[in-house]
Amino acid sequence: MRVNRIEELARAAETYPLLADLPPEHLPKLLEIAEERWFEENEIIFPEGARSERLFLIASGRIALETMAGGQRIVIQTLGAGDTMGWSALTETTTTHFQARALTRVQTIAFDGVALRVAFKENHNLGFEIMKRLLALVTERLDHTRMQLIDMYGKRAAKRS
Amino acid sequence: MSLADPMCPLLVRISEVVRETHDTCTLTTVAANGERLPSFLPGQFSMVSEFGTGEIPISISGDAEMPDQLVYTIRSVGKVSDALIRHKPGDYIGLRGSFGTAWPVKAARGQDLLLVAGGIGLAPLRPVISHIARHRNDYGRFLLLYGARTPKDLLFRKQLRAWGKLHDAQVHITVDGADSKWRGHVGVVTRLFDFAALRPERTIAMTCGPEIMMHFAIRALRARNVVNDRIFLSMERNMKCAVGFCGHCQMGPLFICKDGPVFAYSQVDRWLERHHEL
Repeated sequence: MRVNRIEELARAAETYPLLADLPPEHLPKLLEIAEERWFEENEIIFPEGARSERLFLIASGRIALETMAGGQRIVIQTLGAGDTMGWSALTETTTTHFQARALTRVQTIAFDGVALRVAFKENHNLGFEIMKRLLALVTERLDHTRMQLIDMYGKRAAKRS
Repeated sequence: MSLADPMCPLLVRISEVVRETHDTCTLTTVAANGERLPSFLPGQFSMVSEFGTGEIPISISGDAEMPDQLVYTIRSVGKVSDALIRHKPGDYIGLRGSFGTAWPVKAARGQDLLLVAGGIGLAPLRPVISHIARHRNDYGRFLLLYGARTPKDLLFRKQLRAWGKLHDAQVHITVDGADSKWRGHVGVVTRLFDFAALRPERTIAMTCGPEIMMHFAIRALRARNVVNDRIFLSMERNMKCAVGFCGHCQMGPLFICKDGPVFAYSQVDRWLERHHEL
């Protein structure tokens, strides 16, 4: 089902950091590309190492990003409403780095990666605005990953015992 | 404990041992030899002795309104703590204290309470939660954000569920890593702020955990317009005497044992900023 109302996308723009304060003249182009997609609980949204086809904005529900380590599947991070997923669809090397699995029923707004890249080439202002916001999200995600890597709850950092 | 001999430990008997995780136990202690236990306020700590091994500071994790027992949640990270968690009911250990400053539970009446805990840092906050549970109508919203390393490292599991059922309360938990059986959040504790509908002008925030976690928690609080005077944290340094004599726990002009361990962020921000460049 297509996202068929500009108002929906405008509302979404307030909810998602990727679209926050986006100049309104860019919304019609994004509307052309956007579609609503639902996933059922435990459904694989995309597998690891697959062709990355879409950038997703999560409207509702929860998703686990997973990978294989030490012979078992582990969860790297969970995402929820407002989060962005599938950045690799915006790059030329379009391979997914993790598996995304729905932990609950999930509603997303999905953007075709190829169409987005074409739109960015045709309209550099749109491309700049989106990539600028994406960089902020990537930076935030990198910060969080660094915090996880610190192993701050490990014994070296243990508190008062 | 007499004020005349603050360095002399009180003998107490362990009445209960609860294994919380693979490396953490909660010891309930009661008076021995007919002596009275010292009272305490949420946030205060004791110096706990393993006779023949050493003495370490441990925050009191029990209910301040249960005067017949003192409860300590201890993680094995060294010789003394490792020996302490190996005890069985009926064994004896030593206590000095309670020492230090307390969380501002009375001053926070009528306010929303946001607690941000990481790892073993939930233990010093548990007396606050016990207080809130006993006096629920005295406070506004209660919100607990709790991060741990893995699901197996979560403390007080049954109580976490019970706290989430208190009136107008939310408990959000995250872990740094998990296998695919875990249905909860995975990610750093500051991600949980996304679920917190804060009213900064009426929120008192209390945070305890690894210093680096508190650093990021405070940054997240400030980004949500919670001012420094409304943020409280519990600091940890190398406490030895616990009464401000030895200077081991000095941070700038402050002795963590005597002036802390609980501080308003506005009291310590300049000293922390040196380390973290907040």
